[in-house]
Amino acid sequence: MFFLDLISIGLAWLCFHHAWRRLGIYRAMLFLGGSFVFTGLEESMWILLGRYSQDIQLALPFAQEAALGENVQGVSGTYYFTRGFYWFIETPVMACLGWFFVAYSCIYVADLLMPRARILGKAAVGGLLAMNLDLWIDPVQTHEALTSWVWAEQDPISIFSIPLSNFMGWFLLIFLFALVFERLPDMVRRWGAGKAAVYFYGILLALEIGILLFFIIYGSIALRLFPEPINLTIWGI
Amino acid sequence: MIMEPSRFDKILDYFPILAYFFFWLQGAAIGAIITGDPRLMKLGFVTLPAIAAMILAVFRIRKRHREDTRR
Repeated sequence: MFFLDLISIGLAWLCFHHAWRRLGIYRAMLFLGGSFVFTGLEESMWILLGRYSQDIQLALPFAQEAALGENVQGVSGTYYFTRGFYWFIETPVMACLGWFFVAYSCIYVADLLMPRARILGKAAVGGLLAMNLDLWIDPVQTHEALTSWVWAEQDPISIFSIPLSNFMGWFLLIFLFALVFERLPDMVRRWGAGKAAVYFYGILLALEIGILLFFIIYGSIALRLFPEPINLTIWGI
Repeated sequence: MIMEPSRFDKILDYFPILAYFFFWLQGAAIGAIITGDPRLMKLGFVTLPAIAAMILAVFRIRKRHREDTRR
């Protein structure tokens, strides 16, 4: 297990070293810390929301069962990770580091491919590159031979048997993070390095809550629109 | 005077692409082989756009390095 963490640390080091040399230590640290906390918290909140879905649904009657996951094959909740050496709340540290280097490399490549494009375009391409990678990783890692994590969520729409909300999440997290990170130099100019860092993390935290609300609403609407589950698949995957 | 980038500086530009590629290889390609499910191996074709983007990015970096050397 520790060996897999070492691989993630090594890959994260490649991106962190690049960020340090190209963006400076301040922005490199905020990219690492921001993406780590942003995605780690988002995943952990989503996992915990699923685990305590029944209690939450009693408190929030508008949160439909499908939005937070119901019992599927004896597993209750949205999803959960099965292994990890170090953990950040409910998310293995290697997954958080994975988010960091995937976000960094996708945004970097989007910038290389579209140097003159606006940040909205670059962030969208970065998000799509990350989502494209997960179209293969998720079906592989959830296969019974590996079971790195388990999906219990009943999203009415699935792609390769993986909930559509997962792929939307991949896109949204990297797209939104890229937009906020791009504003960082402006924030530093306006408020100074310390205050800008506080604002940076504050905006990310607000976005976390926004994304969670979005998925709760999406789940409720999707369930009404698609009473029968749809699985978009190739070769029956 | 513009200094030519050092050899390490040039290699550094490929680091993020290398990280993405290794993750693709370890998390998806090797994982698919371990499962032994031929359908999952074929599914790798869906990541062709991302791989094409990475290869294009490598060409862009090489072109930029060549331009830096010419100056």
